Amino acid sequence: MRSKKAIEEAIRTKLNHTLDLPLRDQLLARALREQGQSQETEPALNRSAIRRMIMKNSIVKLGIAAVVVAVVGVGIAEFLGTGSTSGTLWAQVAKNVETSRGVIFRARDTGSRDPNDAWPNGYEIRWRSPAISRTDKYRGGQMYRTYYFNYDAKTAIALNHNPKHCYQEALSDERAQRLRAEGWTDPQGLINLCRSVEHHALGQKTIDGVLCEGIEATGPDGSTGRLWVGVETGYPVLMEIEGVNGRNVRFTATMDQFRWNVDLSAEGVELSIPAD
Amino acid sequence: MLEDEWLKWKLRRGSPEALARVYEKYIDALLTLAMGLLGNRATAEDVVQDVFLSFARSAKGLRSRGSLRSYLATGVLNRVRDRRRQLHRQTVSIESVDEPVCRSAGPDQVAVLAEQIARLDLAVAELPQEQREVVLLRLKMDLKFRDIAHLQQTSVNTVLGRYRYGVDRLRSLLNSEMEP
Repeated sequence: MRSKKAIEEAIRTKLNHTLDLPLRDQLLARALREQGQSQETEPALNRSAIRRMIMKNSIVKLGIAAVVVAVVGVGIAEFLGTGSTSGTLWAQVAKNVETSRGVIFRARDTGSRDPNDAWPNGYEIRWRSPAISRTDKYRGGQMYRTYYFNYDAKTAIALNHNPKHCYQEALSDERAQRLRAEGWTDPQGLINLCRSVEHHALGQKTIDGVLCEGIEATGPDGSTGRLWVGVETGYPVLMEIEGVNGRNVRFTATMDQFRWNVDLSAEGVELSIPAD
Repeated sequence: MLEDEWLKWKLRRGSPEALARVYEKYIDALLTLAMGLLGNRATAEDVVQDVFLSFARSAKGLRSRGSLRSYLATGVLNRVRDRRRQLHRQTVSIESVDEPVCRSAGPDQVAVLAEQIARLDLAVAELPQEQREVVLLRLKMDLKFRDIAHLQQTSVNTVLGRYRYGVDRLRSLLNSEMEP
């Protein structure tokens, strides 16, 4: 007799349906198009109102530099008035992140139990710059999917590598402009996220031979996020998120192997669509 | 989950990358949920397409509270109920179960996996609708019982009972057939 637990496990792990590839990509392409159209049809009145509000807001007038500094504002706040030199470090991190030409890093996550889950054999390599966003997805050491957004060329591409399928989408001027203007580091989002949760300093530790200083934030659901930055380089080295979902299954997300301030063009970020 | 909160924040700002990430993360679970509730692949695909396209159109207005997973599962559930109201209940047979695709499996494993999934599909299709919803929302979408109770507009105790009866029924249906 199979136990109740075995039956639950069978439903969780074995009952999985996946969209076939052509439909999978067509649907994503349609969804991206719908998302773009829904934003372009936003009433002009609303946009004007938002713009007026922004221009009247003195904090926003400080400009993007101040906003990016605030990305690690949580870290700075931890050390202000304590006589610690850590505040200087976090300010340097903010400056470095803001002026970095581009970054490449590895991302991994686990917890969904989906057979297509990247963990433990898969990962993503993410490329980010003010003009380009690219994500290469790997499983078993093989790249199987790439998402590419070029805000200069106003292009969005989804590419399956095996079997080969490619879908290309044009970004409107407005959408490409807005995406670029939002800033590739998404500073406001990080600020909002960090400030909405409890946080504390983690002190120092060595990661892959690099002396780092860390900060940890805890979400209302008990999940935690940790950011470690290199003391000497002033760049983020490791980001981790972990927690427990509603089924008491632990999930983790890890971003590491950062390469900051790289010229993505020189690294071959451009996505060439194969002829076949 | 922090990642979902982050994705919601980006979606409200129109990030296509966030939409692609949500798609990758949830589309197969949503299809499995729709398949389990409807027992028909073509209709399930239609439902999932409706849900995701609607999600893409409305993502900018996502509320900061509430889970992304629950939001999408609710979309599937509501559309499945609409379809069921429109159509006669479709019974599922082994011939009508489309061959599932498991891209993480090697070619030699596909046939075995496909048979296992077909048997699970058939067993799930045997459950009364309310039990089927609870079992799938819990096991495939990781929803909390209290969230499922809210969706079914009933008490948590009733949902727990439906879950228990549903899993017991699956157990009796699958016990003699399933591979470990």
